[in-house]
Amino acid sequence: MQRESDTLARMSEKNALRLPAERRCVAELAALKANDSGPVPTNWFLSPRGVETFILGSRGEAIEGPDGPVVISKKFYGDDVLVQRAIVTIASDRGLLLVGEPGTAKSWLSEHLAAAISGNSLLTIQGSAGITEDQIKYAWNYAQLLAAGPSLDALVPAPLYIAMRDGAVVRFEEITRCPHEVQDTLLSAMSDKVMVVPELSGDDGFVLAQRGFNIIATANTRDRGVNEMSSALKRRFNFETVKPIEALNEEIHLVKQQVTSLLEGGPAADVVLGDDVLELLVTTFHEVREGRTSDGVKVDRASSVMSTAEAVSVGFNSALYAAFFGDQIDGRGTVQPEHIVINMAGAVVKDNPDDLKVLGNYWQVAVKPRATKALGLWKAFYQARKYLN
Amino acid sequence: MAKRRSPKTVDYADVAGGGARILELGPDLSVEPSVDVDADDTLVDPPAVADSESDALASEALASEAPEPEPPAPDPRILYFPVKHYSPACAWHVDRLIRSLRPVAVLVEGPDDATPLIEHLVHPETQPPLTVFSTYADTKNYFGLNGVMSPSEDVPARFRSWWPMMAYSPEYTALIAGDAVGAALQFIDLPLMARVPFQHAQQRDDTMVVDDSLLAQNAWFEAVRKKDRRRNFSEFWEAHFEAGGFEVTPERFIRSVLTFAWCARYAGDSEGRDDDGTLTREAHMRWHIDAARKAHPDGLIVVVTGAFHSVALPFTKKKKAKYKKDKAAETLLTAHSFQALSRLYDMERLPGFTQAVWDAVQDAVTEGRAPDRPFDTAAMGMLVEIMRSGRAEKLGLSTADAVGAWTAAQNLSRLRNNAQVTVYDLLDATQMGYVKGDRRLQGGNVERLTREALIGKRHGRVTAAAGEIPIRADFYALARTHRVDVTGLSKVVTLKLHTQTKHRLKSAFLHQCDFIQVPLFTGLDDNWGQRRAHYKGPDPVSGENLHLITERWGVRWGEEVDDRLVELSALGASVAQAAGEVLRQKVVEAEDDAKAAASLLVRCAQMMLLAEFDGVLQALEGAIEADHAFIHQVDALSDCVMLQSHRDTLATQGLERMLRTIQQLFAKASIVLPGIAGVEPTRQKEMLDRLTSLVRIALTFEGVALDRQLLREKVSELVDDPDGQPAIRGAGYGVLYAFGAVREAAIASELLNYLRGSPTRRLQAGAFLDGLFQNARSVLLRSPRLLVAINRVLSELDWPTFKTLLPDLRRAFTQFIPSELDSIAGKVSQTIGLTAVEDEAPVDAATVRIAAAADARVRAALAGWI
Repeated sequence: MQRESDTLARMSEKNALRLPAERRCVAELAALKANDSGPVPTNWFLSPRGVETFILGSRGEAIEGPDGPVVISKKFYGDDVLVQRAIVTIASDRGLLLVGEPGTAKSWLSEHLAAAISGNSLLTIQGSAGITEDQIKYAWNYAQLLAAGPSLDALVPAPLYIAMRDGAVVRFEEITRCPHEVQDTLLSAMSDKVMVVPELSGDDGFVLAQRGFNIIATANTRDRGVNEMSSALKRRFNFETVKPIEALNEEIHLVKQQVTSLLEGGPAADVVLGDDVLELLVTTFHEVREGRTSDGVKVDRASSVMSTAEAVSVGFNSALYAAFFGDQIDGRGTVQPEHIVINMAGAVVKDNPDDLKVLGNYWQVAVKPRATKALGLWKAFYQARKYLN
Repeated sequence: MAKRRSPKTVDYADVAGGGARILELGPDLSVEPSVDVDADDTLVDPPAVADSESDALASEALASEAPEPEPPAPDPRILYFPVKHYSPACAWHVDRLIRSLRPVAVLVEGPDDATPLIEHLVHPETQPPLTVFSTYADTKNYFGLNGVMSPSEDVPARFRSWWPMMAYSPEYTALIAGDAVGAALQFIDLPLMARVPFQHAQQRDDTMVVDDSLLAQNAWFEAVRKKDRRRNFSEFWEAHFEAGGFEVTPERFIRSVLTFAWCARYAGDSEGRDDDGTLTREAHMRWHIDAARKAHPDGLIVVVTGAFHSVALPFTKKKKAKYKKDKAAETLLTAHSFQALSRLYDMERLPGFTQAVWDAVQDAVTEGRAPDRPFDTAAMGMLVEIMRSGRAEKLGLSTADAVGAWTAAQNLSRLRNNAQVTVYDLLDATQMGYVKGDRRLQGGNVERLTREALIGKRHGRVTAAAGEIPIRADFYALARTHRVDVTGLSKVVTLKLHTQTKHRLKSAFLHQCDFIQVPLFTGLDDNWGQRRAHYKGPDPVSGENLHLITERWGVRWGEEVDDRLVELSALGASVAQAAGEVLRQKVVEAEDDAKAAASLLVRCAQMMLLAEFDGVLQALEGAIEADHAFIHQVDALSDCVMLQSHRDTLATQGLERMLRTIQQLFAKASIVLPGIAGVEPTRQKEMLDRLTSLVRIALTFEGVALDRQLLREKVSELVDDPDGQPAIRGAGYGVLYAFGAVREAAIASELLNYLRGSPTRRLQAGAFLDGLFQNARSVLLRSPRLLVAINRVLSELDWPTFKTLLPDLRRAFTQFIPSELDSIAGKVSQTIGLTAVEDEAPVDAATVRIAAAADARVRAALAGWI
């Protein structure tokens, strides 16, 4: 954790929109470190079992940390075995490539793995069509380069260089969005575990990856598929497919946790967001994503991503809407079913107007019968369908 | 039934009687671990896993009141050895314990009517995998389940139960070890007949297999499993009791298993249940135990049962179960295979891997040393085997990949706190190490190879002294008679059905095997992708290839044939009987489907099951009455007509009755015909095809007089419906015209009605002609009068109407082949007075002469040059 950029330390954490995982979970990491009795691989912050507990939680049990007992929260909902395989992969000589639909918590998992393993999740390369090799490996301070020629001082290390040098985990987001030649930059780092710097001579002319170095890449299946990666690069990754959360109650729990976290310290922090309202939101996302209701009725699937992340976004926006424009009770806004509907259309309908029809159909096939039976808030949810148009 | 007493303490030594006995008997009983390990580190007692939910469940069980009656006092002469079925660790410990303690009797959980088979089971010529297999056909409806668990009350419900025994089954090793020390050997559980009301009837399942669900399906274990982050019971057990089970003393092993079982039973929600027969079984087992105690006044008695029972048996009151007995109930000892075992458990068992573990244990025993990480040995061997198989299939797997996979397996094992690499670590490691790309897209082959390796291939053998299962004896006798290869070689069998009687008999045998799904066949090289890839020949059921006069079968025998024959033994003593039984069941299911019943009649004839023929025919007659579907009736009629015309090869009997059935079918098809008038457009074509078939049979079948007058009347009803589908009506007019029941003027008039109707109706004229042409095709070609009438109507159309109608007209005429179209065109042109245009030569004679002269001169000029 001490390897983090000093820049971060200089910034005000209080007003930061979002903190990296190792900063958000300082107490948890410290408690795990204090109680970590398992063998810790070289340059890892925690043992593999400690990493597992950090990601999957301590099931409500408190662990005695330096500042008192801490319950380790569950960070990843879904396949526990996937997390175990991911940890083992990072401990091996192969990289980890997390594949899946957008919004299935690939980056979230990658960030927390990096935080628990290296104490630093900020060594991140953001893949894009415009990325260049020097954003991955190293660049030069050109003023210094021109003045004194190539030297280690003039070299500006990029995340891959730093991770190899320090024995840390580097994250490569959306790797398949990068051009192939840029992707293949990783080959020598992953196979020979060395990065050559031809401009420099002697020991400065190469970086030998230190123990603890590895790569966690992510790729989403809506963009260019992983099949377009070179075979050579694919061979050096273990693939793990992250699927949407299957259990509805787990997804509701997660959305609530995330929305609450986003609201914390903000202008809508005291808004009332009931579980029953959240259930409407998550059930809708879950069922439209699965193409089937919990009653077994078939519904159309939307072409856009109905991910948990999108549900969190709708939940957060609904809470803000309720706080700013909703009726105030005792000075607090309360999220109503109509607030969910108002914010849902924009999240679902991205580039295909037909998705609106999908939602309309869902309201007829799934919401209406529940409204008829006057189940909970479903009636109000049905009546709010006008906001879909 | 009174609630059973729950032991008041978790310390099993105080409550489990025989379990305590092990600990009390001192050094004589103690089998020291052969390797110097700290037992506490290698075997995890599940109850020690602290968890609020599981603890609460355990506390609740401990706090419960102890009801009467008081349990019998534990007998120190009885040693209860708790096992999980298919457990190498249990098998190893029980083997060592029995050889060490030399008991006077070994009692094993298994159907007690199989006790006489034990001498064959322990015979040196007998080799696992084996199975004790019980079967019963309830012909007298003892259980009142005929018609509930069988298609009808006339068909007996059949019940089966399997007690597979692998080399690593503790029950098997206990019997082998008991035999080696001269102990009396006995099965003590309820036989099939006593279990039917509890198990088969309750679960509406005709097949029961011994399993460990009682240990796994309870609230306490579910809480522990979640806490321990295991996928299922199998993973949990393997991690805690197998991988570390070889490195602890038998005492510690037994104590751990008993403690686990105690919690599963008394801290969960399983205690006191008898809806599945658990308590009845235990009372019966206890009755056997007490009887054995009297029979053997001195010496130790070892009782080997599932751990769930072991914790209750010391306190169980004996009660011999009463149940219905029937000589038809059979219990057999037969050879089994790994693949059959996997199928029995929905492919969840991976016997190849467990056998590899057991082989590593046996290697150590043979060499006089303690087992040294047998799971690791097996896992590494499997990884190499999968890698080599993948390489053979050109999946690009290398030794480096195997090293990577092995490293992953070890690391997973460590992360999960497993003492050795378990099969679940192995499964994950193969995916991590051998799949190069997206697992969903590229993992299929590796997954298949992994499963093949982990399931493995091994087939057992039973000593000849145990006798042979009748259906298997019949199969091999017939295979010899018909010279069907059973060596495993791929053969193509060609049968000339029309010329050789013995070929017809062989064909019937192969059809019987095919019908009852004996896996005797392999795909023919030139028949891939077909519905029945292993068969090429006339198929009267589907109506395909009826022109062929030979049958070709791809035959390849495999050990799975034996597995299937064992399964089929419940259906009869011979292949023919089993096929007949399956046929009878299917016939009942087809009681209101004439088409299905007729297909079965064809199958019956094809299989030469002559004894069944009358019964199937009778069922068909019933189905004709119950079924009102035109398509079904016509298809059934076609099948019966085909049976009559192919009687040489199909050995059809009861001809008179068949003819009556054909008459019945023809009449029923005619009666339901008017119902097709309003059929939806998507089903129109199949209706028209059946109408054509019906008319063809009406015009060509000579075996018996068919009621053509009835057909004519019903077709008239069909065309009289003005709202009927135009194509159907057109087809009806075609039929009537072919029968001479309407004149061409009537058809022309009806066509005009369409053309002069509303715009929608006008558009239906093409469909009307389409249907008309389909069923008046030959008449159209023979007689020009109808053509002339149609031509006249069409000629009078105004141009816009004709243009609108043109696409449908063209479609209607596509029913004719080009030569027929030429013929029709010729007849129409003659009728309307057109004469054929003489072909004109492309060049006149004078030009040809000039060209010839020019050619001659050019040749002459070039003569010296060419």
